[in-house]
Amino acid sequence: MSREQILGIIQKSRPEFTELPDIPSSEDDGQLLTRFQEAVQNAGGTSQIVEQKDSIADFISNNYPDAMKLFSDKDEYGITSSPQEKILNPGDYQDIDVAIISGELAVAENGAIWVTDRFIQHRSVWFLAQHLVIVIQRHMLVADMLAAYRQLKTPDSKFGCFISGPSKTADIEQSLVIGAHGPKSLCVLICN
Amino acid sequence: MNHAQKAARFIEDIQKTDWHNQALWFVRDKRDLAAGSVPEWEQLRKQAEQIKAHTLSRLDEYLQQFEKQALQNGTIVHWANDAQEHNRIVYQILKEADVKKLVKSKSMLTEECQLNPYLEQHGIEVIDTDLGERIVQFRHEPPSHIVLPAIHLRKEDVGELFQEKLGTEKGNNDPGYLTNAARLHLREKFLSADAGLTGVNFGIAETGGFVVCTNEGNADLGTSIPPLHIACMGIEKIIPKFEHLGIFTRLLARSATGQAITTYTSHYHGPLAGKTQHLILVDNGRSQLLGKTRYQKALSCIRCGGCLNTCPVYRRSGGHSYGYTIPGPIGSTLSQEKHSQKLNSLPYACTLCASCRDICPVKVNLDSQLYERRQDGVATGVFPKRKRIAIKLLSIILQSPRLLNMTGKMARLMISKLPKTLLYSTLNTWGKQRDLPRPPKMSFQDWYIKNRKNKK
Repeated sequence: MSREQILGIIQKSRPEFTELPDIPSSEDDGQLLTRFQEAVQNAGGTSQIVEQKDSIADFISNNYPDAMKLFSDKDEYGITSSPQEKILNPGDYQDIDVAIISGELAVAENGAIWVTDRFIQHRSVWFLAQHLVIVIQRHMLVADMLAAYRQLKTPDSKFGCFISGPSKTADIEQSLVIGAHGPKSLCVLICN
Repeated sequence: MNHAQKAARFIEDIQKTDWHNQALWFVRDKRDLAAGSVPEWEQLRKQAEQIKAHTLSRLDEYLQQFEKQALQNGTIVHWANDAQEHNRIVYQILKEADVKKLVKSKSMLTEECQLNPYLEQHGIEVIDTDLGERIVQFRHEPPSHIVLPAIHLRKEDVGELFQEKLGTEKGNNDPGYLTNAARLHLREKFLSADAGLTGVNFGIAETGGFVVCTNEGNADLGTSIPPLHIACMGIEKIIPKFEHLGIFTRLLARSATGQAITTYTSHYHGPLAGKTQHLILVDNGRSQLLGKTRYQKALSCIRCGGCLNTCPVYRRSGGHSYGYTIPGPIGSTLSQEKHSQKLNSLPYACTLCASCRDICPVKVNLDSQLYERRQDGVATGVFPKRKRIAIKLLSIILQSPRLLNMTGKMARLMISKLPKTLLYSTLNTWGKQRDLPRPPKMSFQDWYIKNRKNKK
């Protein structure tokens, strides 16, 4: 059996034991919000501080006036999602113009936001939507990826993703193009 | 043709070489900016190096832990000894699920195993969905860089290609326009594919999960729409704990492209209800490499491509000059595992400048590995013949004071007396791009005898 063969060779060939390093904790410089917003911008996204959750629906209608089909993963955002009954398969979200989803953790050093599929059946909408909006709360901010992973401790969902900025590519002559296969824009709404 | 010969062809187009060199150095520059913005950068590198070293020292235990956890998550785990077995396993999974169309995101491992031609021979339509990979797939050529597959092409080349393959406007080479054409073309593929295949950046022993880092969204479209996901992973991609991702995700994208992080860092811990997730652990020579003290550190590689971007030889010869799945410093040392005869020129595709070691996020000693590979080449007789003859000749001359003096005298005479056309003839390979040094009037020995000998 290949498994036994491979493990057998490794047991004989593995190098001498070395210790795992100690990894000290990250530091919080108190500038998390500023750094986070800067990092989101560097990643090609935008961010906005919103005073209350009910202003989200207004924000969407003001900033995406041409959006025909919307998706929202929480009723409290006050956005009417496109009829859910029509969604049988992950691909059925292909016509979504703007998806408004909820983040669980946000990382200041790189503008990344942790999202999981705990509250959603088809995560395909995060990638099929033409534009993505992620809603977070200010208290979700941590300094860096180490702090983020230590806070998460272990994954409690089948799928989780750190999303930083809109989809992008520089595969054609190193020219950065925002909007590759995933969403063409990303806006982070930061609630107090 | 060896690397030097292919490189000579590459640099015939000086303009294109300069452009290629600048394009890659630009990426190196971005890496420097990103690394410079993290005060604890060198500490991170050290931690990453140590985590990898520890993991390799207990690789069998971590692989077993990983498998146990993955199985508990509902992931189906397979083990492949070599490339052929890997390909057979993938095909078997696809056949059983009656898959006709497969979307693939970037995986150098599947490139190494030559998966695409194997599947195509067996009647499966394989669509590479990373933009750069799709471009080279259309052109029937291998990628020339592990992170930037189409870096060797200008936008005019892509414009022409897409005009033919996707019906884009003639003469429109705007990268935004071309990318959008690919977006529309590939979206249809994601929506109609039967299965999605990805590589793996990190496998986590503690949780049995695996992580895929991408920018374009193609990998995630490929795994979130079709019901079947196959992930292919080299056994060296294991890391012990979930929190170790906190180190590696800080290093990977910064070292690769200068981004603080890739757009998507996706964590998979088993399939959703009604879906299937397979993971194939691939050896293909890695367990053998693990036993080689001088080279085992190459297994720490996280495939960032940083060493390619910084290597002066890679930048001026291009990925296709190497003749191996992975070019550049890391490719050159890995290639010697199975192809030390055929690719005996690769340890010499190197100036030993050690820039690669300098930027490697996990501190692989690439330059000394290439130096050692040269020694091994001599010991095992795969040392290139031309060099062997030249070195043999040189060693005869250097071992004899009489011959050395005679040769020195002749050389000084020739350089000062012979006409340039003879001196820089095709036999003088050293003199192709260099001027020969001006000869001194006399050798040191003659000067010593004249000025210092018999004096107090």
